Amino acid sequence: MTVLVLSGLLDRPYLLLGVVQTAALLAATLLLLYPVIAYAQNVAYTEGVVGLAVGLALVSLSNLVGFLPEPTVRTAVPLVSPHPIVVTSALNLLAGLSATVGVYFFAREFLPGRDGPDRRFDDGDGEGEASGGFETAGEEEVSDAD
Amino acid sequence: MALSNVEWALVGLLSLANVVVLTVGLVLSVVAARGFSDAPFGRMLRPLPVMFLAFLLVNTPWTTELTGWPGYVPAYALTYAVVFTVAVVSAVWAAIQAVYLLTERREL
Repeated sequence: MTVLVLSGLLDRPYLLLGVVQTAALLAATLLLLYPVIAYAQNVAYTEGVVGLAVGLALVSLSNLVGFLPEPTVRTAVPLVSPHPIVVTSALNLLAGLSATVGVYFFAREFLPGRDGPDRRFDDGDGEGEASGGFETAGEEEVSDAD
Repeated sequence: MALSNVEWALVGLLSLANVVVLTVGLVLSVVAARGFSDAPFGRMLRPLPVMFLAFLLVNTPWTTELTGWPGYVPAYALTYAVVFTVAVVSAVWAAIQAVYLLTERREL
């Protein structure tokens, strides 16, 4: 049985590559989740790491669905009975969303309009008060004109 | 049974949405990798733009009519295999860096 599966895979290089890719994606998912679970105190960006891991897991799932024969997928989803490509593209979209949300958590402190990367070390009486001063200054000018 | 017209349209729409989402993800991953470039954590983030770009590229053809052209499928299969492998390798590399850093096998 195993030999049969292996020789079948070797006859189809793309299928073999697909299996290796899916295995690698699953391995990457587990590698990302391991420190989140076992070394939680070290992980400052849990949402980011989990978002990426869920994204990779969904791409793996999408690949696995892609290996299934079309009738299997059509009967597995009863009411819609979609083509496997519809299922895989839907899963890929969910994966893209998850990974993008994840990477947002890494990027957000460097985005314009946010405080700089040092905001966590800010003692609280710097920029906040300065911008408040600006706003009240503007209001005072208006009230002076009146 | 091949894809129906409705299914083709659905695949196109889902892929287009994914291309938009992944473009945002690509930009954010560049911002994150640049922002953390001096920190050891940057090692984990550096492969992510490559990963997002590769996933973006493998999704793009499905938003077009290209997949129906003669001779397209074999060319696509080879390109897809290469680009998807780049995505997978980047993802695995980022995950290995994450494990190295976050489990203190390398200094944080």
